[in-house]
Amino acid sequence: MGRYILRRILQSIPVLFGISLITFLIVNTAPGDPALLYMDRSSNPTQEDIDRVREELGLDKPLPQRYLEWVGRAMVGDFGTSFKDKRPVIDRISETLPYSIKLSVISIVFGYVMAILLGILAAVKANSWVDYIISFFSALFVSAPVFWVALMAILVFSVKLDLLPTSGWSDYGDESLWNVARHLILPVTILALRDIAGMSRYVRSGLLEVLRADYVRTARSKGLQERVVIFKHALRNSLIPVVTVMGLSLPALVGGAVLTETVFGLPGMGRLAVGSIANRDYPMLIAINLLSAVMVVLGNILADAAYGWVDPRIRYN
Amino acid sequence: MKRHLKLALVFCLTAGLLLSACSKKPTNDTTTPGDTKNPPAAGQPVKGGTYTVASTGDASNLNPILYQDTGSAAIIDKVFDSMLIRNEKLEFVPRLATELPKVENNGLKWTFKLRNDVKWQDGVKFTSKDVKFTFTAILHPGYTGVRASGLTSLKGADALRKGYSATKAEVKDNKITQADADKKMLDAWNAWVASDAIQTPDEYTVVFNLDKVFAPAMSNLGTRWIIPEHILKNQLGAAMKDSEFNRKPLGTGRFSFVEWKPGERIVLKANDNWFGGRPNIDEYVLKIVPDANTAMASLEKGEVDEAAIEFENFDHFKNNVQNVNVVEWQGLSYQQLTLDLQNDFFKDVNVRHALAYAINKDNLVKNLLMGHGAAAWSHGTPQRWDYNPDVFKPAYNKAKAEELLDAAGWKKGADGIRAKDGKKFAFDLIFVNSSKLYTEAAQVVQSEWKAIGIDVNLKGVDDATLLDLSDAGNPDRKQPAVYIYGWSLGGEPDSTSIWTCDGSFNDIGYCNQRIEELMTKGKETVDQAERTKIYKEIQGILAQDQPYIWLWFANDIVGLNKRVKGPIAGGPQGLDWNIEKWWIEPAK
Repeated sequence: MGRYILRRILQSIPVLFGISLITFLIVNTAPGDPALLYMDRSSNPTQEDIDRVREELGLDKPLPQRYLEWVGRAMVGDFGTSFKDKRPVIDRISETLPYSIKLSVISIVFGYVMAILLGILAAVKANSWVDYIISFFSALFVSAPVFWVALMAILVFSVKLDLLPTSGWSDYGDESLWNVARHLILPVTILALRDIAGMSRYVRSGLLEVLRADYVRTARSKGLQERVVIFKHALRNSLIPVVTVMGLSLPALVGGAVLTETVFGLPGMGRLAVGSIANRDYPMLIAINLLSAVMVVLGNILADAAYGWVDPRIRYN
Repeated sequence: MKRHLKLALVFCLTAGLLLSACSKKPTNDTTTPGDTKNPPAAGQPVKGGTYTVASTGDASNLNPILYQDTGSAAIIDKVFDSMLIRNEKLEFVPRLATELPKVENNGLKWTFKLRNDVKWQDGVKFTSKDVKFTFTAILHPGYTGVRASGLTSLKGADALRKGYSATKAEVKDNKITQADADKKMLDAWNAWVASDAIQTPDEYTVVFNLDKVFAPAMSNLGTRWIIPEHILKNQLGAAMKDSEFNRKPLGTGRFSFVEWKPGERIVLKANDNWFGGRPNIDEYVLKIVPDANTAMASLEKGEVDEAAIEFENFDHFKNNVQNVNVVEWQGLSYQQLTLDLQNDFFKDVNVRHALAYAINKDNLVKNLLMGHGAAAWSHGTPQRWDYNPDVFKPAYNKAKAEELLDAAGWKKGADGIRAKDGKKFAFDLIFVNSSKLYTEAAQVVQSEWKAIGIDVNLKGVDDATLLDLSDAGNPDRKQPAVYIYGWSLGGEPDSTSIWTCDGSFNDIGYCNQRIEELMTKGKETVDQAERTKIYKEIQGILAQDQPYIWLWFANDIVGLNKRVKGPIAGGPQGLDWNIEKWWIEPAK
């Protein structure tokens, strides 16, 4: 297995190079001139000022030269300076990434645990009214637009019921874990809703299929409690699709929650990524894109590895 | 059958629950613009409290000579001071200066006398050295900001900058090495610093000598935030770009910097030693809330003290929210339809008039701004001393529009669309689609022009793309187009970069000789009465020429928690220009 993973990693290096090249080309040829965007119009700048800004941003050099210089610096970990902040891109990303990772990990854990529990409930009580309610809400929360659900949640739980804060990561002056937790309850629930809705269906159908198998019938006939049958025998095998999909949601850690972050004012990668597009912040955009690509590659490798680990019928060499 | 019944029941139950969470529809209330609701200024100021503002944007750079966005300016304004500031009537009043500057030699010599009781927030004394440093830093060869062109009227500054350009060209042509060029430019700069362009005869006097009379100098020199020489003297030029100072500023201003958590908040605290008296409020927190709806929810809940209120929510906050005062004032920005004069369609002034007559501005203000604004007719604001109320005003007149187009040779075809010499009157209307206001305006304008036989194709793009498309130098710009855009006016009426033939923001090829003359004359005299005449004439000519179809001035609407007290009124200087006089009433 180890050799398999190593081989996959090595194979992904040229892929990442290709992605960086394509991203570089797309970003630089898209309409919109960063130099024009970063002018302070009220100070009456001249054409000379605009040209100087362009030069400072490095946009006056020919495209191939810029790409090669970028690659050279990227190899040593220097991803350039953000056009907007004029700070190293790495600094900004390393400031923002922890927030996104915390938010995503908590949402994924919460979401998947709930999804598994609800999926089991729906499968065990298949075709009962419990199953219908779970199906209905799953459909609802998959279809409802995220920002609408988020704003409704704020209006109901924060403004009308005054139970939770409206936005932000924590209150100024109170950095305690409890304060952060209160701020994250709504965004985590909303992010998890989508996962719960989708994943619970996977678990339900996977479990239903497994529950019909012979070995489950054997387990029951041995006199084992239903709880043991489900959790010890059936569940593990029905989780194969869940485990693999989990790996594929790794890229969502980077930029997947932009709408939730915007509505709840959380300083995450999603907002950073979308903001860089509007700001034509080329170095930031390319770095975030590359990070996303790395996550996709890693996620795929993880998913395949997990699949091989969970299912003993699969063997990699 | 039973299954479907259960499903339907569940659906109705939840739908009902969700709908009950929605609030009542607000009543329709018409408001006259400029109606401010001042909290009573009576009552004694109390020291203390944290004032929290919800802002949609973060700052980027807190260095006064390097910043480029309004988000940063809002913070810089509180941490730093300038020699003069403008009050609510846009009049100059002294701040770091003791009085207005002495202007001699017909505007060639400006003498500022400075206060002797000002300290930087680290305790060091503020002197004229700091003022001179601020200006010389901007003209340093390694300076990376955009403010240098505002100082070219200083004696020798223009020649200095032209020298830099020439030296840089020599490097490009491989005539000298970069190192030699750097030394050459630095020597030139040092020589200029030692010259009499900016003199500091004593610790509290600064004298600026100009090459030629430049009326905007009062604004350019006077309202510039001053940076500390003792901190930044070794970080001139390119070094300042990466300076810690840009993230941790230190000024002489009303508030000192505490912390900046990017994307989350910026915190300032009152400067106990501010020469004008310590602000009443203890702390100022700028909380970054990117979504306008969330910001309004925060305001309603009392989590923030100040947030912008959108037009549709005005009635709700005015009538239904008990703990918020609504402050409204006419903004200094107008929105317009920019006509691309480089295209044949728009070259005929009568056609431009026709297009203007077809737009019903009153309707736009009533329906899009919900009454919170006023029609605009030229490049000038009623809040500034140079305003000309008597310009050509093409008020809505559909018949007149059609008449003018017919006379210009644009005849309606069988499909209702006008054509001339075989070419249809059709073009793109380009706007920024992230703004609901612009999107709605585009649709209204499209239908109003369709009604007079013009085929308009809507093109919503993002900010950067619009700037790119409208850039005169863009070779892709062959299609005829009209852009919806806006300009922010300031205290200084000079608008050379927009209206002169070579203006860097003149992307439409507008060129009027009389305007050229007037723009130059306007800068060459410091006599207010003279300047008023000149800028009034400019507004008149612009209205007559209609290179833009001016649309409206929208009002700014802000909600303040009722616990915030003081002389609060919105105006051309914004809302919190006098925040040091505000206070927070402690909870009962």
